[in-house]
Amino acid sequence: MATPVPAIEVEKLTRRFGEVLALDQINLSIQQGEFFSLLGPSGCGKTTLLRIIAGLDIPDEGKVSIGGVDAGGLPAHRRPVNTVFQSYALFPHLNVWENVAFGLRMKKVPPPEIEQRVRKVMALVEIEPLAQRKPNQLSGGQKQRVALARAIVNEPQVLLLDEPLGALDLKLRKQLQIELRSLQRRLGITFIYVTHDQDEALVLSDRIAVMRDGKVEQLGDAAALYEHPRTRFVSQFLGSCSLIEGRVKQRNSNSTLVETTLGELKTASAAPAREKITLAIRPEKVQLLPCPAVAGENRIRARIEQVIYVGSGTHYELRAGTQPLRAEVMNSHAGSNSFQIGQELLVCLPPEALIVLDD
Amino acid sequence: MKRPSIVLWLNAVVLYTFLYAPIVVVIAYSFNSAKRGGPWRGFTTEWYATLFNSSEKLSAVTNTLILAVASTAISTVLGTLLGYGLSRFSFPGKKLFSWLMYIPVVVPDIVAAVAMLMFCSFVRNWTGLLELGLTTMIIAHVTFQIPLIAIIVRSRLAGMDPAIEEAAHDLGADAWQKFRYVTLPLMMPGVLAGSALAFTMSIDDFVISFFTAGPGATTLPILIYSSVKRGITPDINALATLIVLASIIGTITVTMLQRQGRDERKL
Repeated sequence: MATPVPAIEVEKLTRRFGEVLALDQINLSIQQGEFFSLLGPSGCGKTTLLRIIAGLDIPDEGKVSIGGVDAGGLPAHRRPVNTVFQSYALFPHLNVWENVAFGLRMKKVPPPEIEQRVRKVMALVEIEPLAQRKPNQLSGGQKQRVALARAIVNEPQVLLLDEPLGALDLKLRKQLQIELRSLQRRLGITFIYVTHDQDEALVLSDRIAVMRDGKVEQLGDAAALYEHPRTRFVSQFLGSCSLIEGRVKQRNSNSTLVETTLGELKTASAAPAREKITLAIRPEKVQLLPCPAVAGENRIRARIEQVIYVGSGTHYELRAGTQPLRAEVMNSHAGSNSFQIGQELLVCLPPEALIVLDD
Repeated sequence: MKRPSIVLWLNAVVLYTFLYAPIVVVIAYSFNSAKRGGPWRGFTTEWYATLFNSSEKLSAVTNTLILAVASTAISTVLGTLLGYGLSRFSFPGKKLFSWLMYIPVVVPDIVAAVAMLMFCSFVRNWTGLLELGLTTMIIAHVTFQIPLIAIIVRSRLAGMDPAIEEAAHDLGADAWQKFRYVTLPLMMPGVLAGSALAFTMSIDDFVISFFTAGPGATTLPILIYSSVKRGITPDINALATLIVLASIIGTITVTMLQRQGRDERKL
């Protein structure tokens, strides 16, 4: 079977704004029907990349192919992609129905077909009762739905979403996340989703590209990025991690011994050739051992400096010597995790939870 | 809000009396049956009738309207394009251009009038064109109307989310469709407000019209000026009253259009 044509193929894409390198030799291949997220802090180039795919910005170097076709010469209005803008950018002089019908009208689709397709899409995103309203009579969530309907009514090969939920409150955002995900599955359209919200990216995406300073720092599915971050940046941006500096002491076939300020730690990962390395551990993987515990492998002594109760769990800020550590424990049994501020205890950092970072 | 003090009230009363009393007097006298001003002799609409029977005055009204409509039509098209160009395109000399746009606004009318007169006679000497008359007046009015419209249109466009035009492009509109179905309707309140202002300024203008007018191209302000030299007749009061009425309607239109613009921008 031949490999399917990628929905979007980006090769060596570079974009400069004066001295600033917004995109630096980006290579990406996004599959048909994929929910793909570009995740990164503001200024990392994610929106620029989206705009170049849409044809709203022109790269200095590199190539974009949409469905296997070089889009280099195609202006925005002839590309088979549509955008949901961060500010929604609804047409204020048109009502909801006219906003949704805009793209079909521009393409001179016959009116009866426009009527039918607009009605279908408006039903899909549940905005039929708003048809006659003007955009300034809509709430944020309603505007969001109209912006979405206005884009998908054109049946694009790829839908580009630029922080579409950024302006909404948390509860509505959570609800729309779920709707977006099921909408994408139902339509089968490739979604490229720009966000700086790591939770959103984790919830929605098949794959995520974490971007930083115009480069893709790491690419993978949610679990791969979370369980195996390759750099300090990814480990901190996606969730949080405690970082421990150390030197390689001994390399074994399926583990590495690392000398750190906390003593000798064993990790299940292979270390790079360098001698100085950084270990990372997710807070929920740090085990707080109840009192009559004995010293052992990867067990270190720490002091509790801060206890934060968050309902479903409790967060502990620990310090082992000068090394800060964070632990998160689920409150699955009432009163089971009753550690106090100032308490000294043994902490276990399991070898398989200690990740060796590349930088 | 705090209530204003009595001093502030007094100040306002004096100020508004000073501003509007002359106009009220003119309006009142336009209904006074006394022939030579002076005391009130009873209500009449005779002067309005006289006005509409005077071919000289009617032709001045016609000239004024032709001048205002023609110059506003031309300057609305040119001024809108200028405002659009200055706000949506970048080209060398753009800064200089937008700065030059303010010159006709700040140059005193009398200077502009003399300059226009000299320009016309210069062109006439070389080409035989631009004989003084309605045509030269229209050209002169267009020169001071264009910047007004361009400035208003440009500020309207500056307040618009650039993503709206990008969305049109993204949804399949080519450059012309984007302009026709999105940009133009959105800048329309600015265009209308600008042209209403330009229209009012044209009706109102005396200095520039006076210098560029030729025989047979008398406008209302010029006619009033020349008849006042022979003493104020009541029908002039009637004429002034009608002009005031037209100005009020114009001002209300502009205000309403701008308010509509503000409402749309609140998104």
